[in-house]
Amino acid sequence: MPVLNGPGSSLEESHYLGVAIKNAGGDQNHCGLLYRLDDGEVRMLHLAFHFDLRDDEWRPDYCCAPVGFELENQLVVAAFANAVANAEPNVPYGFDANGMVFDRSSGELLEAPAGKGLTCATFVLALLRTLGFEPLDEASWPVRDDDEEWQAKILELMKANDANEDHIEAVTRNGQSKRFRPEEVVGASITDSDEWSIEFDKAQEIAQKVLEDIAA
Amino acid sequence: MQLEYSDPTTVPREMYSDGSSRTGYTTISNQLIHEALKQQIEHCLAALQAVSFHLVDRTPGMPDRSMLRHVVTSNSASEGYVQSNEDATDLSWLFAAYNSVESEKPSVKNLTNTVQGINELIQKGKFDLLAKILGSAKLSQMSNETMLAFARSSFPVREQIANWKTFVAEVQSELDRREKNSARLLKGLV
Repeated sequence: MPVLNGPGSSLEESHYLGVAIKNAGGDQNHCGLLYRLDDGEVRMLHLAFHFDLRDDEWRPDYCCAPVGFELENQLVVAAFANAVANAEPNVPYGFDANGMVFDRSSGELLEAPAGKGLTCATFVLALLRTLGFEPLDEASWPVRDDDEEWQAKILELMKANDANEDHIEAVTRNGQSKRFRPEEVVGASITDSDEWSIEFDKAQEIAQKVLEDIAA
Repeated sequence: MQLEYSDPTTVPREMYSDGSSRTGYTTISNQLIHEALKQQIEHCLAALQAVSFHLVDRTPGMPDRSMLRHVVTSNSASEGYVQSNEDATDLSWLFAAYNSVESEKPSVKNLTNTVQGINELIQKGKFDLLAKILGSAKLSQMSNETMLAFARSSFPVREQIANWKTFVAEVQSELDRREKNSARLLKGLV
């Protein structure tokens, strides 16, 4: 049974908050947060790349589903996402999100420690964490062998896109980090919040269903 | 009597200048509406009295949001210290938040204003003021979403807000009173 609404579908009218995901090429997936405005418009807030946080109109080439908590909290988080979008913060890309918080700012991130940054997936986690939600039990996550290859690929992309050399060097110096994949974050987010924080093994089962829906 | 207006800022000024029925209402209706709005304004002011603000350019009887400017005094107001206008904090969002109705779902716009207002206080390090705001909130009159917005937006700086846990406990009690699942709604906070 599918866990996501397929491409061409949007967030159900009764929902204010969701997550969206699509395949971005090869084995790379991309995800973001969906939120609904008062006029019904659905927007997608997502970290496209280094210092490239985007607040876009909903695009139907993504799969999506509502976040797994009740409408009251959906409305609150949608408002927070709207506030972050309005603030247009500068969000660096990186693999180690420690220290990356939205605390003490009007949607602005605290200046990140050197080499720290977010991915599209950890951006979603960071936003939810700021408001007290923890979909994943991050402590249960291992550092996986193929994460190193992915991180090396991303660093090359950052160099090719003229990312600051100091930041790239700091990210490289940090070494290999745990990777929270878009399908894992999306799968956990759409699971009923009574099951949060979801441990690694359970998250893999749900992520597999997300991958099947994307591929379908 | 069914009141026409719940938001003082939508009331035409003419209704207050001499109580006449320029809008077509009877004198009695004008008086009742005026009294109700006056009570509402007094409630807002009473709730904010701990903040010790001074209203600048306030039109009597109608706190137009665009005209409200607050000069927030420090806790040492008795010493005569008043912060400069450069440090003024716009709390106009708080009127809408305090007047959110229990039975009505707030708009994304209003909740966004609440979140941005709280975020600004956090950015400026005004934790004492934020604590007073939380402490002054009449939860029994607020919507579920507004209470949750207060609680979740202030969550990142809970350690700097002396009464944060007390506030969340009161939100939990109010949600329980409304027969809502407070444990789910406050997940991650309690």
